[in-house]
Amino acid sequence: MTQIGVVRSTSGDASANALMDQRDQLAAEINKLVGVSVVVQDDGNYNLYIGSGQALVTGGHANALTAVADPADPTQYLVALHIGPSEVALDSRQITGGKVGGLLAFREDMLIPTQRQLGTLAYTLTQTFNALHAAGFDLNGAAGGAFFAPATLRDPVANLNNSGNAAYAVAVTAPGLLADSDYRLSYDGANYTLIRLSDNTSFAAADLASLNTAIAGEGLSFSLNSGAIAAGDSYLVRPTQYAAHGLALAVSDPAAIAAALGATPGDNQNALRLAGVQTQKLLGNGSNSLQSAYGAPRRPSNSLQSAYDQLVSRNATLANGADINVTAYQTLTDQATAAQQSFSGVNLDEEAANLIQYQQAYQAAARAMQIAASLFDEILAIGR
Amino acid sequence: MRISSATFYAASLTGIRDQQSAIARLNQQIGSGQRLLAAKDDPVAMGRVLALSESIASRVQFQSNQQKAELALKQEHTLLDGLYSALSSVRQALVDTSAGHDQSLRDQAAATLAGLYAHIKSLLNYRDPGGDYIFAGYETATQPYSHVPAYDPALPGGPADSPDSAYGGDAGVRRIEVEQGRFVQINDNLNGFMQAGGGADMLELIDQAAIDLHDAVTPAATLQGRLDAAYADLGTVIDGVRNLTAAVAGRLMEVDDAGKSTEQFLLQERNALGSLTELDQAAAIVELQQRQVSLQAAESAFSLTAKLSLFNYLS
Repeated sequence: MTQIGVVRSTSGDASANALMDQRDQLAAEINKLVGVSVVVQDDGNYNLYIGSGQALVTGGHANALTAVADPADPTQYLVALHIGPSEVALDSRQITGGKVGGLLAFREDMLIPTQRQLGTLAYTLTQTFNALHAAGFDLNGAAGGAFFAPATLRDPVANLNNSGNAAYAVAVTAPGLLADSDYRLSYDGANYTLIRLSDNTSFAAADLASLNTAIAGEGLSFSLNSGAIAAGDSYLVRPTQYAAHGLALAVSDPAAIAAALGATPGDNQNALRLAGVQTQKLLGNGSNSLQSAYGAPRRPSNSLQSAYDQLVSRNATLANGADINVTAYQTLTDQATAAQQSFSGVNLDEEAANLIQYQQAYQAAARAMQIAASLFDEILAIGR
Repeated sequence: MRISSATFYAASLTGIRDQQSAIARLNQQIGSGQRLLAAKDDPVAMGRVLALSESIASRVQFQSNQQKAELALKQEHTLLDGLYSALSSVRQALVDTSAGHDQSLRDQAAATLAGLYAHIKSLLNYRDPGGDYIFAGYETATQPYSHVPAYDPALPGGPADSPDSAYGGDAGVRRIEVEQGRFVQINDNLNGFMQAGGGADMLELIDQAAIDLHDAVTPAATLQGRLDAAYADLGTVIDGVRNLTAAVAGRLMEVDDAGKSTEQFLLQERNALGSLTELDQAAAIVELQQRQVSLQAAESAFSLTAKLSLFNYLS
């Protein structure tokens, strides 16, 4: 990248022109990977900036980009800029454009929300179904076991920069109240704060038990597994992110399906209740604004099926929007390329015409030389 | 506008590529018969497609539930019909025979009653093809009626008491959901009319009548009093069977009705789904032809103009 920085142009210097072409090409290649803005300096040098204005190339110096573990969730990666000895992790939202920008936007806007929603669906299905199933009896009169393998919630993720060593567990107390959002749990030495990241609504309390009371409307509760928290520590909370991973049947024997409410073989009352899960309103509609706007608690308004339909529709709309963007940006790119090419591109016919022009000029000059030579010959002949 | 040679080629290529991808898509659509190849093709329609598919799947399940309910109810209806005619025969035997008749006639009637007793008992203990007792409530694995008859033609006729009868099932009734939120009862408990008065059930009553007819010791007047009482009790039982038969027939009609409306809804929803997802083949094929012509035109235009170059005239 340092090659981009300084190409001092001295007019008419052919090698400098070639280098400048090369520099433009490199800048275009970088933009294919990640969106950067090019600022042309007074001396003709290029400065490249990334994100919200962090310098990628300034003067003759280039800063390296690397992938580093996200401190908030070390299983995920962020793009970091190395400025001197220090390493600055860039917020994923600041990286726009290019392949990297596209991948990051996909992760933030599509992958993580879809994982969360699918996980919430899987968790709610397994919990609701298993609870009903456990209340019944199977063909042999035994109490119902787990119908689905129980979905596991992801524990709150400790920030890499935490100084304490507390490990927490999160539980879903009411799936129907879950907001379509991640949360951040933090501690400032006096208070625990939980922030709903989709709209930055925060809940604070002096201890975990009080916090759990304060966040009852979110359908979540926290408990300390081990260790102790220190001031300034924070945890990223994505309870249902991976809950859909292990979705599997736990019952393999038809006789182990708890269809009965009493321990009698011909009782199908529990089977009817299990079938009712399909249309039961179990989930919220994912909007966070209801509570704040009307002061009313969120209420489950979606069946599992309609929540799934919404999930598919949402992703289809995003994919459709992406298609439209591809077409629009393709057109813009084509126009920009055509404009650039119309200015600096080579037209072979034009070159041929120029060639003919120069050829004719050459021939004319040669002809003039020939005439001059014959004139001299004539004159010399006269003198003889 | 000044066009560079690279732009010229690129523009031609873009045109050809666009036509090709449109043709590939049309080929896929025509091959599958589907207008929507992916959810993103029409997100709004896709939402409705999902809702319709889900509704259709539920209704297909309800159809299979309706079939199950219909089979169970028809089976019960047949059994109740059999029960009714067997009980009518018992009543007829009691009408035809009185305690004043000749002992040989009475023994004959007693033998008839014993035969009907066995038939009725087998109907009451009927097991469906799955081996489940259908008149035992939820206790489908337990024989509901296990009364042991005391009538024995081999013994000389004398006074005897038919043993008490006990019901081995429970009061449970199964229901099947035949339409969203519409449940139909598919088995019945016969206890409502099985008790024939005086704590004796239908089987005990018939067994006792056979014993009484076979009884050559007890005075005829006493016996006739008992037989008359049995006849009256039997009337109540038969009324009960007829009422239940009517109720089962009513449920069968309800299932049939649910079947008709499910069929109608299915037809409507399948049509709606079809209009959302199915491809207009004719229109697609016409478009394919148009695209092919355009592609050919673009290709030949490219090959014709690409050959043009001033360099061809330089020698």
